[in-house]
Amino acid sequence: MNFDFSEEQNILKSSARKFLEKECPSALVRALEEDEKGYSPDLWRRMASMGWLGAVFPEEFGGTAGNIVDLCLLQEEMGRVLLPSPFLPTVVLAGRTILHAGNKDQKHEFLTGITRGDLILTLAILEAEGRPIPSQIRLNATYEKGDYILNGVKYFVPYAHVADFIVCVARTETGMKDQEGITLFMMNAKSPGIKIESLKTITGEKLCQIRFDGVRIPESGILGEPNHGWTILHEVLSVAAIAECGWMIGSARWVLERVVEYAKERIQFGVPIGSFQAIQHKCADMLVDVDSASFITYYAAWLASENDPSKTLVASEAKAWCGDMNIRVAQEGIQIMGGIGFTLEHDMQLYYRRARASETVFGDGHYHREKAAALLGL
Amino acid sequence: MDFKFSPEENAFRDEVREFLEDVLTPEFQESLGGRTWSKEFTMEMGKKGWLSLAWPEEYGGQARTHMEQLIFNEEMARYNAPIEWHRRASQQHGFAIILFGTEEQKKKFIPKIASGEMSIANCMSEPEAGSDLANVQTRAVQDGGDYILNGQKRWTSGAHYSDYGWLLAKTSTGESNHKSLSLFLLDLHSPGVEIRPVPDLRSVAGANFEHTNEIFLTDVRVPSLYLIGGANRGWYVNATLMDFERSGIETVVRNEFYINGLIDKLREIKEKEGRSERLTLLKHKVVQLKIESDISRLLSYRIAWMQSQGQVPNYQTSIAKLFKTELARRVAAVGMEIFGYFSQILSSLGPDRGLDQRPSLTAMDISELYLSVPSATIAQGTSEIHRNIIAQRGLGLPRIR
Repeated sequence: MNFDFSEEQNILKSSARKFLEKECPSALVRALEEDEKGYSPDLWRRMASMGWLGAVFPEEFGGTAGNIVDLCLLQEEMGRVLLPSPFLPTVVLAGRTILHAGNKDQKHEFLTGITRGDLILTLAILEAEGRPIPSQIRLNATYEKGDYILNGVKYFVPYAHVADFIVCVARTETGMKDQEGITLFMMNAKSPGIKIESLKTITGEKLCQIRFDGVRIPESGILGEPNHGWTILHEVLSVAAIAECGWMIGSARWVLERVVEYAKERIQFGVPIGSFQAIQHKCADMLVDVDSASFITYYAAWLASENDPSKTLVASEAKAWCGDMNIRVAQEGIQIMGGIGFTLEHDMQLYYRRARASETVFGDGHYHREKAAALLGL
Repeated sequence: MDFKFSPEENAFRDEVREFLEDVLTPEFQESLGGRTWSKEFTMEMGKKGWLSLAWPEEYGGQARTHMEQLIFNEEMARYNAPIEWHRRASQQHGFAIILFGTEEQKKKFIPKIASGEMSIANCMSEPEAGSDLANVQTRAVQDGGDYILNGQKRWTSGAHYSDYGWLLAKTSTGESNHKSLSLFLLDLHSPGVEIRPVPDLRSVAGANFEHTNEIFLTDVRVPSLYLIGGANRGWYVNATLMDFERSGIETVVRNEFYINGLIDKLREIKEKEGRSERLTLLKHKVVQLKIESDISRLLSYRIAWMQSQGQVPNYQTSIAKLFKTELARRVAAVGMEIFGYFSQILSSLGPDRGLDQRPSLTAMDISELYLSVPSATIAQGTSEIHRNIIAQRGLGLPRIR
């Protein structure tokens, strides 16, 4: 039993911390929220040279062959500074889909492009109901003389407006079980018939709506086997959920550090407010929350890395817990800071708003508790 | 990061299980009638050297690792073994005597603790010294080579069956509380010692259930041989008892037993009644308990792991204790929702033991849990005290004045 990270992992963590402390101040986060692209191409190239974009890819594609624990560590540092970047859609969503479903040529072309920092990718899965379940995949792909014609709408696609390639989840066969008949299509984002619109949200994330109007994709654009895309996607989403947990731990830790700092400095009634039991107890609850989240997440990440039979159950446990935890911590973060915490000037609001996104993405608490229940035979 | 046990650790787990399955027969469990202590069971453990499992080898111990101690405690809890006769002496007081006792004291007490003959109750708290334990008022005044004790102790678990009490008394005045207390091993059969049971909610479930006691001390003569660790060093001796396994895995195992039982119960309901709104609501609550239970296990494992690395857990122990005991309350609440009206029932015979052998969780188990659970967040440091510790020692927030 070992609750510590390896030496390499500790180095990864501390170098990421140093890098991001310098390269991603909150001023950048705020600027990129206003910015149309929503990420810094220069920073993206530097993340590539740090090896981050190949974190979970084999060395043959320029990757560092890390595991899910390494991924979580990186995500934790990124979440700590709320790094606005297409890392998750490119590497964790599209990248891992290609890793598991792509043929030799597809893997070589796209994964090498990703690790070099040359390509931005995203995954279009959610539709009108906003839930990542097979029955909600209705965008259809009809076969016609060697091509597939895609028609439908996808929502909440991260960074689609700057993506070079989009992996689209479509239904190719009906009349089967919901999770059968789903196919993964890879396409150039500029393909005729694709119309991308940015969505404005409270969280500051760059999310898009994509209209597919008679988009023609050749058979060679399919990732993996036709009609069997859900099996791959299911695993990709489960790992993405764990990765999001890593992000949430980082954010929550930042919030806790700020409020403890504040509680020690802020004087009211002649003493630091951190000497009042109510404030101490809130802070204590926040530390318990963050510690708990950290353990269940790294346990889930380890199980995924070991391909343990209980990995899917624990991934859902972690996501359900962390989503709630992160919002609780962000809310108490504002509460302890009082009026200042509520202003836009203070950074706490950035974490509060982003917490909302993290709770929902890749399945919210309700979705994951439902999933866990099913896995427990309920 | 690695959450597996080693092959050696797993082999030890198997060895402990084999012993427990051998000794804790259904007949034996029945003979206990709900008691959590059994001198007979303890002496079987003593024969295997397991009462000194954590002690250094030169004291007849097995010097087992912290992870092995964790596994050992986990299996004891899983089989609901009656460990209360020896638990305190073996895991805490024996250690203190080894660390701080004189040669004469070690010779006199260590073999008897190791064999299981000697049972020791905790005589710390008093009416005026609960959370503020240093406010102990019991006086111990020197008289020749003895001390004369006067005072009152409360919440003393095990005093009704133990031979000795591990007692904090005031041996000097004028100093701060922490510097004026001494530790005594009190022979509970001494003249002047009066023990009265304090029935609590658990007693509603049956006479054999755990309860605490009040101890009244009137001019009790204690030879100075029984003062452990030196005069006025009592607080520090007690505070340094950190090296035994402190994961608190027992409550984690207990919570898991109930939660797994609730999951089974819902599966039963699903099979009998099919899907329903009620089932959907309940299953979400039970899943949340399962998540928290998995977290609780990791928080406790972390403690043993820290100790195995030579680290001294501090606020981390408070986190583990706080989390698992507040979880226990939620377990009771959800259990009551699931069993409904029936979770008030008590059998007139009291509970039978051997949780692992029982086919399914019963309404009566929940009734008993409801009774016992309020003490979980009070004993061994209230939740409020633990939050203070987490905030002050874990986050460096200023001590409250």
